[in-house]
Amino acid sequence: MKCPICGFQNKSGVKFCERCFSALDIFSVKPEEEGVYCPNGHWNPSGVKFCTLCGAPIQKAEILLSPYVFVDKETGDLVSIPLAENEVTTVVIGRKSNEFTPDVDLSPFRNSATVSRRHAKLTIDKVSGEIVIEDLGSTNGTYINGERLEPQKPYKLHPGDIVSFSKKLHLVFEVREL
Amino acid sequence: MALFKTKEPIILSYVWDNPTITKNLPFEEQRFLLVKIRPLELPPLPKVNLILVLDKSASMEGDPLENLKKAVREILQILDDDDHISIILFDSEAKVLVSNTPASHRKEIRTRVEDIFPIGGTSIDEGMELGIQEAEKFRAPDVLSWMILLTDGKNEHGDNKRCLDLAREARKKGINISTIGLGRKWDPKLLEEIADLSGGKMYFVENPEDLKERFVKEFQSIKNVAYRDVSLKVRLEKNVRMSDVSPVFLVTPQIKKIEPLWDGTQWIIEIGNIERDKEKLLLFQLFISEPESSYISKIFEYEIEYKTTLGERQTTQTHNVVLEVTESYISQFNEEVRETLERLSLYIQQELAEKYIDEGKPLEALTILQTMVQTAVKFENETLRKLVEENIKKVKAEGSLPDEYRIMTKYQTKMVEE
Repeated sequence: MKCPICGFQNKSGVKFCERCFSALDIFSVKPEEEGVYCPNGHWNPSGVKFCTLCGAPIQKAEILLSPYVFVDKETGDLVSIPLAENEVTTVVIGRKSNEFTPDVDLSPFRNSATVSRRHAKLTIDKVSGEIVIEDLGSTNGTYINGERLEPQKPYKLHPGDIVSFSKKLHLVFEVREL
Repeated sequence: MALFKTKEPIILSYVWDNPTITKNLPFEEQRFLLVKIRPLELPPLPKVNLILVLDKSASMEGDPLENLKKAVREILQILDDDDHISIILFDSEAKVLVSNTPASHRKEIRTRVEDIFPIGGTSIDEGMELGIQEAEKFRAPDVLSWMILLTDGKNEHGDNKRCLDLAREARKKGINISTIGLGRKWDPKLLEEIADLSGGKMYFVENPEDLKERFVKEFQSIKNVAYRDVSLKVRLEKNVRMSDVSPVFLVTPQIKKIEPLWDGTQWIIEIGNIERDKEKLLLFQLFISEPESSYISKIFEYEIEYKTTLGERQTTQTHNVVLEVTESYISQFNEEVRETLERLSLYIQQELAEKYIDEGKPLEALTILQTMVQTAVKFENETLRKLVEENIKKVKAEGSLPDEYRIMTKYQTKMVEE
């Protein structure tokens, strides 16, 4: 196995990199164990500030792409919604897979396994300020403040609303200052 | 832990990552062995031939020089009368301030120290060369020659390669060199290599006021040397080999990679000096295939060769290092060995990260630095975590890492015990 740290090509069966002594088994730790995901979906032990694989900052309100964010209130993890240059932005929210990457990827959050690949659609109108969310027929449903949304129907979203992507992942929709 | 108690003055004990090995191993197994060596009987204190090689370049003006003078005065005070001292000053050139003389002349030496005037550039090799010349003036089997080299700058007017050649020459002549970098503008790689090649230690002193303490501590540890030029002669069994890339590391007091030397029949592992009341730790990385015996498997045999402070060369009896053979695999991993591996990995990673940065590969360096943060968090080493995070910021912003950033990180990862 190639050492993810120093690149040394190790013989199979070694527990530690022969050259740099990095423990090779930490990279096969099950994601269910205590830890955080980086924005690119790599699992990391808790306490790190940057992803050990790709170097992306572990999200703790560090980089905001736009004022519109979904926040996990317990962990502080957040994802921001990229704004298009047009008046109206429409993004697909879901869970990243090998074949598909949604505009807003929820896989870095804990309990994201029950989120569908194409879970919901969010539309932001910069001029009127109207924000609308629509469930895309997800397996486990979308909820606003506990109310299940009817699929394929737009619902108004307000700052402070709790949006649940399945019954496991609850995120607060916020508008923050950049 | 296996322990061999003999009447010998040096004792070796060892800890395996796992004290057992399985019969019918399907493949070569990676194994780690932590070796602890400590003195049992203590010979008389050595006579020290101390050579101070001191930077007096213009940048030393003021606080640094005043504190350095204080440090030298204190050293003069604590030297025994039959110890010797020489003082070399260097800027872009070097001169002898105090030629090799017994410490009993301390009064006269002290007046000379008052006259040091800071001027000029930095040529470390000029200072080292004169230092070695002075050291040679007091040679006897029971004399321990040790140079302390202090600089606050890079070797701008000198030649780094020559420094390393001189460090090797010093080692051959039995002179150890400890290096002290003052402030944050010196070259950590150079001072580390000089120390490692000559069998000395490398120190970082940020604040000039701490110079005195560092000099005193270093002198005490020199005076505490019980056995010199200690080496292990190791003969591995047929089913055992050492790693090609990272075979042996010295763990305490400072981490240093050791390249075992093959003398045609056995491996020679040079581990330097052993101090009184201090344990020396070494980590071996071995690859072991199927054991021949079915109960206890011998892995290697060894003798310890050493010199007493009186200069006599001696060798211990031959001893064995063994593993217990079991029918089926017993899963366990010794915590002390694991912790040692983590310490070593921090040190190796720090070196690799610097290498990648120098090769213009900042992304590879960042991956390594991020792993170091993780390990530092695990060790609850806040200082190191902050340092490495500063390094990450710098590399991200500029793609490079100036020496002032490297000094602290290197020191924090290399230094295991005071």
